[in-house]
Parts: sequence; structure tokens; C-alpha cells
Amino acid sequence: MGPSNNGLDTSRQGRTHVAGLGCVWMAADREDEAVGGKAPDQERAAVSQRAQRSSSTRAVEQLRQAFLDQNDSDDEASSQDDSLQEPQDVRLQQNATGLLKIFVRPGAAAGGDHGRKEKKRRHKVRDAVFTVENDDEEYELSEEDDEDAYRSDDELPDPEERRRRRELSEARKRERLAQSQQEGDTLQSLDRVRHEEVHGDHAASGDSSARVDSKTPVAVLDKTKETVDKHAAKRKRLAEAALKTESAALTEGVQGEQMDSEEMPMPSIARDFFIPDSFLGGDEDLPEGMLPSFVDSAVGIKLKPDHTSRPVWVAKDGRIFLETFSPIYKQAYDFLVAIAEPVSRPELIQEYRLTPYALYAAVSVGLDADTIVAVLGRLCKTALPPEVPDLIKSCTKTFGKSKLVLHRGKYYIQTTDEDVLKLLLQDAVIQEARVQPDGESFQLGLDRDRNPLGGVVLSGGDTAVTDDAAIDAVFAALENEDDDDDDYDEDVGSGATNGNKDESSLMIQKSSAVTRRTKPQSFFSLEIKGENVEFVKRRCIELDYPLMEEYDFRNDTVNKTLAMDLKPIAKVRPYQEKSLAKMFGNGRARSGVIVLPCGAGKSLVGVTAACTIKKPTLCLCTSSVSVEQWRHQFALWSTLPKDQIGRFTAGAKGNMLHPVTVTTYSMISHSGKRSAETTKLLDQLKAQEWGLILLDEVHVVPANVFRRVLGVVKAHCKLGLTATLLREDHKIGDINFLIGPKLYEANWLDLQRAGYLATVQCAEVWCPMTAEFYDQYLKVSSAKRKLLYAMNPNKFRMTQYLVRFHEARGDKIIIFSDNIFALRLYAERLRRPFIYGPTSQQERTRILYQFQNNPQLGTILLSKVGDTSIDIPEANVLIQVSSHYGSRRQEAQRLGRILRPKPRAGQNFNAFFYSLVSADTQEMYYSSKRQQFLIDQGYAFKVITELTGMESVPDLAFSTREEQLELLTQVLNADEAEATEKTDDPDADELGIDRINGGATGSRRMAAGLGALSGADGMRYAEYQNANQVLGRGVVRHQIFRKRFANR
Amino acid sequence: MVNATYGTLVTCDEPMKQFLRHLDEQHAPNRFIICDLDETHVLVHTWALDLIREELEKLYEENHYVAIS
Repeated sequence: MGPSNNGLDTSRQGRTHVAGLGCVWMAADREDEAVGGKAPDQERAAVSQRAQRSSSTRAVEQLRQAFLDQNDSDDEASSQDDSLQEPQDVRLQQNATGLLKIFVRPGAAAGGDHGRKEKKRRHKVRDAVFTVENDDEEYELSEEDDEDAYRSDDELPDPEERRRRRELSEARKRERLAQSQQEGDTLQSLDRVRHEEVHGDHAASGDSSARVDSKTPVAVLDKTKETVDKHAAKRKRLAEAALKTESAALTEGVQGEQMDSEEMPMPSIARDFFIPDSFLGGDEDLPEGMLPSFVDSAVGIKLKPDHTSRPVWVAKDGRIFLETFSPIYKQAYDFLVAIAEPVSRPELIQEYRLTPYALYAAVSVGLDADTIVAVLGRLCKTALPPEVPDLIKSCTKTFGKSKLVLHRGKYYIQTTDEDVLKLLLQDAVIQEARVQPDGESFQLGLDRDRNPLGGVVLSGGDTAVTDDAAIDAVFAALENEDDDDDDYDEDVGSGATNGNKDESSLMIQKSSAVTRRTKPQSFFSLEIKGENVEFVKRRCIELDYPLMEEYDFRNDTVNKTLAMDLKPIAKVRPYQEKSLAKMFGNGRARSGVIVLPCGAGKSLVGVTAACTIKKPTLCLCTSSVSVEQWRHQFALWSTLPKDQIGRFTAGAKGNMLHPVTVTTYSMISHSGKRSAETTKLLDQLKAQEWGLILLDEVHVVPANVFRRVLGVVKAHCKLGLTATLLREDHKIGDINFLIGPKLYEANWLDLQRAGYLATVQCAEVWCPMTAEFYDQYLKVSSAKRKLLYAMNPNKFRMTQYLVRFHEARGDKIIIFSDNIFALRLYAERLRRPFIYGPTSQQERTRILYQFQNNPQLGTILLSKVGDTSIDIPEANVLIQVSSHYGSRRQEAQRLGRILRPKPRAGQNFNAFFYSLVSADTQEMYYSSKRQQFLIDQGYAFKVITELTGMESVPDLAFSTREEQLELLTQVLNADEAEATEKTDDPDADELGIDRINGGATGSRRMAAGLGALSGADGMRYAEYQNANQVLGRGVVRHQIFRKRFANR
Repeated sequence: MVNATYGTLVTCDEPMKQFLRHLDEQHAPNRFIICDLDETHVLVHTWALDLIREELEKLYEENHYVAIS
């Protein structure tokens, strides 16, 4: 590369060069413009002219710099005798002189570049101007401190910190530029540069000048520009990254421009609040990379005198920080989790965010704005920022005015307020979704007080129970704290808390005197089409009248009540009880989502909910395996006889639907051809009204394939259950109007502390690539890369080492590999059984049985079929070899495999989670992305760069170069399509991965081996256990055979 | 005849040397590696240092995930 690199590099030693050169460049530039015979078509000439200029001035500058450096190094040498700096400085000098030499030499080979792309070059030049100006400014304003900032910047070990500081100084620089730069020309040109960057308008503009007296080789120039260009590009990248970060931080669920689907609906009030003007409109003024930080919002806030006993900070952008070490943490947590969305919950300080949805949820569990503001004010260390009460009030004031009610298979919007109804009626979306009334008694669509809803009508009023318990707990706790404070304050001699105490007792009165929903005198209702419910709900949120969904199951006489109760053996844990209390808070069942970690007993929550409602229940899960598990759970915990619990899957369907029916999403959403029985049952299922629909793994619901399920099934109450309410696409917010608000989210660390979950040590193990593998890695396509980093021999050695270590301890190990090629090879080499998609059910059961009961078998290998559906309580070590890109959920689900509490106590950690990563590859990126969810839940990943004692272990595989090379050839010859397993993973589509249609038993497409191509493992050679199975699958189609089988 | 040239000795791990070689390949005919000494050492032209740094930075950024907070 060109010699000029040294000059404009922002890194390490070159820093002084940059500043100095920038100045000279600037000068040259301005001179150009001043002299200014501007001829756009003479771009090339101008360019070389500038190059000449720069190179000559640069040469001078380099000399000066060399001299300066000399002085520097002298100084340093005098201060430190054996300075490590010295060689560097010497090299710098060499550089400088070397540069001069190279300048004189004719440009090596890249000279040909010169005439190539005029357009591109112009662009580059402008970028160059842009960059240089910045540097110039920096130089003029603060040679000293910025330089230092950069130096230390680069020395910072933490990359994250480095990035931040870079961004900050970037922003600072720009700000200064804007402030101090009064000279119009620079600003103009800067603007122009920006403008053109944005619009890609490459029309020639006037930053070129006339006279050319260049003898400088053009190659040098090209390189100069390239370097500069690179920097500009880098800056741009950074700025973009910063902007992206910012947007994501600010909008919380509002989709940015890169997201594909429609925008999340947001109440208008909240929209103003959450998205600052600068984001909506011209962001010219907002310095890029300036994030609104916690520090910013802390300006001008005064602490309350007794702030130490209050656990919460509230920032004016709606973020809330909670200290977990506070004595009233538990109460504060219960309150916060009801009103705000948890963002991150590490050990000491947790972050929450007030969002409209969370506030809706809060209102729907019975809190009202005044109470929320009062309690938050009490918990907050400072006076509440005025924006926060405004937000809370505006988000909650219109909530609860309208309801969505299901009656005799028809959906009605119901409201007590005529104005609301009119407003809703005028809306186009709702108009469209409305079922046009046919009777002549309808006027204006108002079905006034005819009360068509019979027993389902929410009678409202007196039974409403608010979430007072939580509030009271907070107040009681605060009271105690206040008492303590009083003592303290008496000692100190301040009477400030007395006032507070009065205030608080006032508030208690206030909160208990909170006005309940008044009894509605009359209803207005309009009927809407079942399939449009989703859109109506979405629209209503935008109209600031979110629809409430509650089911008064006790007064529902239309649907038959089932005799089902929890068995006495079922012990509902406190957190499960809490989550259910949220759901049944006022004697009715609310629709919503309950988020509990894997292994924390989600199914018991579902069964308990069903037992409370005692109405026909439809349970939806993701695979036929979990259908079995749910059925088993229902039989285990409820008193309902097992023959009342039906399955509706392709493999097992009865003649009729049972009161409790367990099925899969794909079964209902499948739009292709069906067998006759299935169609019949499906019609029955659609016609029936369900009391409760249980949605297991509810995060899959927003996927386009499964959305239909909710339109098809008519249910009074929907309960979603999941451990990981997150998706890699941006549809997770859709849950809010597909199902309902998040009712409860458990804290992983709290459950772990309470002993409901195993204590897990998470570790990310870095395995260096071997030279040959990395060489190939750099050369091949990305699909192959995936295989290469998964098959890294060092990774295998690491796995082998870990397996030996843990098997010796008597641990049970699961090795996860998404990559089938790797899975097979690992299993072969380790001589352990493996399970993947095509493994038959019998074999799976056998392997799992052996794994659980045979002490000889300490390790099994699983592909991603093991992520969710296989329950292996014994396993306590998990080694992840390869994984599904950056799926945060997969990581969490896999961790969930070992989260069940372990009998082996007595150690700090009783479960281990190793994620093996090939260093210096894409995998590093995915790995850190995957960990984000768990990190937000408070887990810490320990990075292991080297396992000590690995060298001393003999006979690890792939220790010789020959073996490694052999493996490499194997890998390179492998078909990458074969390596990736295609399953009917219900959420594969979210990452843009092709999904095979056809439900749980659909045929599987694999890259064919020789056997498959010759038909050797085709279906016709498969053995079937019984005729029904065959007929059910529709494999044997001919009439004769059908009759024959039917007669048997 | 003895041909003297100066350069910079780069010490790195094995994969990184592969990366340098790959980079060198890409920049042909403007190659910067003077001599490939052994598995962890390579002698390069001094002028390429910044290029190398930059490319390494790029590689690092590619493989580094920054959490959106």
C-alpha cells in the first residue's frame, strides 16, 4: 500500500502525523477553492494536482514530524532508561525517510487504477475532504487532549469501551465543528459531502481547481485517497452503527427502516414520548453517536434525603433502575415487573423500561395511573421527572374503555361510552372488519342496550379486585424503612421523613380508595369478523383505545363446566402462584403471556390455569413430542380422567374432540390437503367455543404460518407460555395484540437463588483455528465457512478433553451440534450415541433411557431436535459445538436443558454450559449475539482462552498434522447442504430459512446419498406397525387396499 | 550478490499468519510479505503495517458483536 498510509492512520503512533497533515491538507484545500478556477470536467487534473500538493507538503511535514519524533523519543529515552517505546520511534523515523524515498520512486503497479472509474474517484475525493476537515478541526482546537484521548483510547483493553469512546470523541468532534466553524466554505463543503453521501449524487461539483504541475506518480495519490476513503468509510460505519444503536434504544419496538414488516402500532401519545423529534425528522442537529444516557437525564435532579432506603431511579425517558441489594427489593421488584418491561436483570442493578404495553398490562391487572405514580414516586430516590407521570397518565387514561367479547362464536367490541363507539365506527379498518347488521333495528350500527351477550357480559363493578396486595406490600415495606429512617433522622436531627410518612399514609388511603370500574349502565356493541380480530386489535391500540379481553368464566353458562381440579400432589410454587394471580386477579381470566424460564414448570402453570377455568381447553404446542408431554402433564396434575384428554395430531387423532385437546400449531395452520377425518375434526374445532387456549412456546405465534391459528380458533381466553419471549425478527411485539400483554415474567437469578433452577456456570471456550483450516476459511464461501469453523480440529480436541474431564466426575453430558456433519463425526470419534432428525422414535427412547439409567453412558450428542422437546433432567453439562447463527433463543433453550435443579449439591455450580467457539471467525460474532438474552437475564459468561492441562492429556484426536489435513479434505468434500439439518422447526422462518411445509410428520428432504438415490431408503421399504397408521398417513391410496385394511 | 532490504518482523499466531498470507495474496502484485519465516513469524514491508492494522481491525469488527443497549 501507498506510503501515505502512515500519514492518515488514526491508530497508534501515527497520531501526531494526522493532526499535522490534516492542517496542511486543509490549507491546500482552501487554497484550491480560493484560487478556484473550478472546472468539474477537470476532475482528474485537479486530483493529481492535489496529490502533488499534498505529497510535497507532506514531505515537508514528514520531515518536521520526524524531527519532532526524534525529540520525543529523546525525551522519553531520558525519562525511561530502557524504554520500550524506543524501537517504535526509531521505526517511525525510518518510515518518514522511507516515505520520502518511495515518493520519489515512480508508482509501482497500481498506476493503472488511475484511469478506471472516474465516478468512484470523485466520490473518494469528497470523502477525503470530509475526513480531512475533521482532522483539521481537531488539530486546531485541541491538539493536546484529543491526542491523549486517542492514545489512551487505543490502549484500552476492553473493546466495548474503546468503541464507546471512539463514538464519543467522534460526536464531540462533530459538535465542535458545528460550533466553531463559522467559515462558510468549510461548512458548505461538509454539507455537500454529506448530502452527496446520502443521495449518492455523483454529479461533479466545484471542489476541483485548475492548475496542474504534477510530476508525482499517480499511484501514490490513488493510495492516499484510498486510505482516506477507508477512514471515511470507517467513520461512516461507526456513525451508522451509532445511529442504529440510538434508534433501537429509543424506539423500543418501533421498527426502523431495515425491518420488513409493518410498523408496530403505538398509541399516539406514547409515540410522541418515546421517539424524539430528532429521530422522526431531520436529525441534522443531533450529533451522531450521542446517546441519551443515564447521566444526561440525571442532570439537575435532587436526591431525597432518605434516598439510601429507596431502591429505584427513574430517568425521564422512562427507564427505571432498581438496586437489588435494597432490603425492599422484593416488593419493589413485584411492583416494577407489573408496570414496566424488564430490559436487563443482572446481579446488582436491574434496568426496566416503562412502555405503553407494560402500562396497559398494569392497568389490566388493576393498577391505575395515580397508584402507579404514587408508588413509583415513593420508591424513587429522587423526585419523579415530570415527564414520567404524564406518560403514565396518558397511556392509561383511555385503557379499559372498550372490550373484546366472544359470544356464541362471534366477536363483539363492547363499550360503555358512546363517543368511543362513534370513534371506532368511523375508523376504516374497523368499518371493514365489521359484520354489517342485517336487522332494521340497528341505527348507526349502534346495538343499543340490547345486551346480546347473555351470561358472558362482564358484569363489571363490585367484583373487581385490584392488585392492591402488591401495592400494600410496597407501602408496608416502605413504612418499615421509614421507621428505620425516623430513628436515623432523629439522630441526625432532620424531620424530613415525617412529612413523607404522612404523605405515604395518605397515599395508602388513596390507593385503597381507588375508584373501581363503575358498573356500566348500558352497552354499545358491534360485531366484527373473527378473521379480522387481529387487525382490529392493532388498530384500536393506535386509536388509543386498546381492547381489553377478560373472560368471566364463573358466570359462563353457555359452555359446559368440566369437573377438573388440581390433584393434591400438585405443589404450585410461589412464583407460579404469583403469575396465576396476575391472570385471575379479579376473578376473571385475562388473556396474556406468562414468561417462565425453561425447567421452571410452565406446564403446571398451564394445567392450573385450565383447572381454574374448568372449561374446554385447547392446548397448542410445537411438535408431536411435546403434545405427548402436555397430555402427560394434564393427566399427571389434574383430576381429569385420561380418556378426556385428547390428542389431535397427524399420528393420533380420535373420532371426536375431547374437552381437553392437545394439538400442534402446524396441525391447525396447515393449509394443504387433509384426510377426511382431519377435515371433519378441524371443522368441529373451529365451530366450537373454547374456554381457554393454551399456547406453548408462544414466541412462535407471530410467524406468518401460525398467525392463522388464532383467527381460526375461537377462545375466550388465551394464555401464552414461553421461556424466551424474543425473536430475531421484529415481530415479538405482535404478541401484544395476538395474545395479550405480558402478565408475568420471572427473574431467572431469583429462581436460581431460591433453588428452583440449577446454578449454571456459563463459559465460552475459544478454540484457535488451525493454520490449514483458517487458510481455507478465508478462501471459501460462507456456507462452507460454517462447516469449517464447526469442524475445527481444536474444537474437537477441546470437546474430547471436556468430555473426559466431566465423565470422570460422573457428570451427564449433552453435546449439541446443529451441524449434522459435525454431529456424525463427533459421535463416531467419541464413540457415543447421537440423536438427530431421522432417528426413529424407538431408537431415541432407547438412547435416552440408557443415558438416564446407565452409569457407563455419560455422554450423548444431539442435533437441534434436542433443543426443546427432549426432557433430560439428569444432564448437567452441556457442550455446544455448533449452533444456529445468532439465535438468542436457541442458546436460552439449550441452557434450559440443564436448568432443572440437580440433586448433587454442595458445590458452587452444579451445572456447566460450555459454548465452543472458533476464534477469529464469524462464530465469534454469533456467539456473543446469542449470549445477549442470557446476559440480560443476569448470567455471566466466562471466557476461556485456554484449557490448562490439555497438553498433558495423551491421545487426543487430531493431534498430528496428517490427521488434521485428512479431516480438512473430508470437510471440503462434504456437501454443505448435507450438514445443515432441515427440520420442521416452527420458528425457522424467522431467520429466513426455508421451512418445509407439512406438519410434524411431513416428509423430510435431505441431500441424497447413493442409497437414497437408488431408492434404497425410500418409503416403500419402510415397515409399518399397523394398518391404521398407514391409512392415516395416506401412504396406501388405492381403493382395494383401503378396503382390505379397513376390513381387518 | 547480497540483496539487503529492511522490513518489520510480525509475530502472530498461526491463523493470523494465514490471514496475512491471504491478504498478501489479495494485494498481488503489490505483495508486502518479504519472507515467510515460520509458523508464527513473518517479515513484511514496513509500509504495509497500517494496511495490516486496518485489515485486522476490519476482521475484528466483522467478528465482533456489539450489543444494542
